[in-house]
Amino acid sequence: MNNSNHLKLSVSQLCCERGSRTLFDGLNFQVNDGEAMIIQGSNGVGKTSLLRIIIGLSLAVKGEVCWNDQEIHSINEEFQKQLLYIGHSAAVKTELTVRENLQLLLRFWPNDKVNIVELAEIIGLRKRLSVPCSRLSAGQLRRVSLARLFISTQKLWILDEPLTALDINFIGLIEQRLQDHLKQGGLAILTTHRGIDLDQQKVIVLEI
Amino acid sequence: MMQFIHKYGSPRYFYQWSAPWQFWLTVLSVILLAVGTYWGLVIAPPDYQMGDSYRILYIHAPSAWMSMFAYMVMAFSGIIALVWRIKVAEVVIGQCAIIGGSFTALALITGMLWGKPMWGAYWVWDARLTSELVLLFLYMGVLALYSAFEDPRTGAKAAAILSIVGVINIPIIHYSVEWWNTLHQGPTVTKLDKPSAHISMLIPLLIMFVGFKTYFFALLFARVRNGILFREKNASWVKEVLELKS
Amino acid sequence: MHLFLSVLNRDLMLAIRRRRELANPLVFFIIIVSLFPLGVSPDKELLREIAPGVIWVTALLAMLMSMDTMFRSDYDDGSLEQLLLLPGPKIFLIGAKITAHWLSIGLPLVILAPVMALLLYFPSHAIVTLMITLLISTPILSLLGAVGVALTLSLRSGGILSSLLILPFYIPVLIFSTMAINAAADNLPVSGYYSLLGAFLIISVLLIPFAVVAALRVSYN
Repeated sequence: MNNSNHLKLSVSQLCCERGSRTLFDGLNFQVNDGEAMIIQGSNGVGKTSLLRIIIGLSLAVKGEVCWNDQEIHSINEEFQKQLLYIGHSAAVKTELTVRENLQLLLRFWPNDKVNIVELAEIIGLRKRLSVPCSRLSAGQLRRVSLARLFISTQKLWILDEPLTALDINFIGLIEQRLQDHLKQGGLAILTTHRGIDLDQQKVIVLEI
Repeated sequence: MMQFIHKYGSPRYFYQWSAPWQFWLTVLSVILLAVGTYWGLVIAPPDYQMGDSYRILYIHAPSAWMSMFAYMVMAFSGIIALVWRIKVAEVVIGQCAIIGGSFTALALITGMLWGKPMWGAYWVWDARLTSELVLLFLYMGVLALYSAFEDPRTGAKAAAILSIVGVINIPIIHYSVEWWNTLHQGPTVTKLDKPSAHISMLIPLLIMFVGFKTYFFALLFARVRNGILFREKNASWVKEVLELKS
Repeated sequence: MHLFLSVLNRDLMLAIRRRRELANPLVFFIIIVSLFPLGVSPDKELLREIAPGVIWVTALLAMLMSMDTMFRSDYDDGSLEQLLLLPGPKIFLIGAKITAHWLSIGLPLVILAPVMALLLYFPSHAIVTLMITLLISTPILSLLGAVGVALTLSLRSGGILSSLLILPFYIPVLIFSTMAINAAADNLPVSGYYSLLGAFLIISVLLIPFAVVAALRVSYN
């Protein structure tokens, strides 16, 4: 972990439209390493749209998103190597077993330090490793997708409602993991309806 | 280049500079179409083989030609819309699809009417008619895609990609159909280099070609201007324009 | 290349799990071909005459039917966006998904077609040509189909619309393939058709993945 290397994500003059409706315009903010930003706002304000623009999946009408002062689309590969995104949907294949899903995660985002059994232990699904994910509950599915956080070597975490459907114990675990990530010089941007316990936090409230 | 495109492509500026173009193109197309129609239907001599029935050519050939041309314009504005994200180009795609599709339908109908005296049947699987039919399918696809999305900008971008893929495919489709039907008549335009067609028949045809082309652009300008007003209906300049008119 | 192989591996693993669902287009192919003798006539000469067209049009429809499986479930459960965010050229990702689709639908069709051709009294010496045309052309169908599916991904009733968009593009493949088969049945040379189809395949492989990536970007906007 190289802490001397400053990381930052900055957003300038961002504008997003859906149909003829403007969701937000002239949005500016910056997140530095060790900082988390929590985006709040009522439904339909454009939280998910904003996250999708930040990860480069959607294009903004105006404005730009920069990673270390470089526009993200111009450093696509470099940016994506540092990016961990967990969206609304679990991105878990229900046809496959828990083990196979975790294997896929490790294949696409390799991390030598963790093996499948340990990972399953962390997310509390060790006994269900060979169960097809179609038989898991919503909360358990969410845990499988959040396993990404425990193998992550990426610096920038973008999480869309990561705490939905989780029980209290696991929420505590995620908060702890987030805390560690920030301490190690990571950045996080997340949306959440419920509060989240973090030591240092900067809250931006999106308003229409 | 970028600045030029962005300047002329901004909805507001486009609305301003296109007004005189729309007016003069309309005037020109009315004159040309009137002269061409009169010349073609009345002055030009009847064909020694086909009699008077060939005169439908004066509608059929230009509309077939414009059906292709409109597709090229559509794909070209598709590229502009995707690369530079110009709103006006997005509107052009949809309007081109409607106008081009109508020209294609017109070419098909006149072709069928011509086919009755020529081949004794309204429909013959001749290469040119078949190509035109496929082109109609392509237009219908672009239109369906364009209007399938709630957000018109998304629809326009999707239609742009489809029309660009289409424009690469059209020559392949065209040649495959021609090959499939080697018994076709040969495209009408090539008659221009043949001395067999009489010059008095060709002049009105050329006038009709130019007339159709100016008509296409006049119609395109009118429809695009209208489309822009509709799309930008919340913008302040549109409200000003509409207040001035009413 | 690593990206290509990982995604290919993943999609094939999923295809094996979904084999029942994937078998449906093949069953559809078998049933539709056998409906023709019932609907037209069991006359040997007539069936032999229409066999190339029947098999090809039916294969085309079977391919279209299965097109939705290429991106739909990955789009719905959010894994497609995860794949698109993987570092590395996106065309390898798309290429892998299209290859997996072809291996799970196109290839079985190529193997199944000769059996159906025999049901239509198709001359056995032309069956090799039938298989070769299918072998070259079904990848083109997968590639073109991917554009249609990618464009209509965010629409609720995208399946039928994507078929409408893509079918006209299938015409050259249909024409060249059936002409080749007919030529083979008449003992005429067919290598010219193979070259044309091959050229079409190469152009499609080189260009279409870019169109698919662009289409997916639009679907996610």
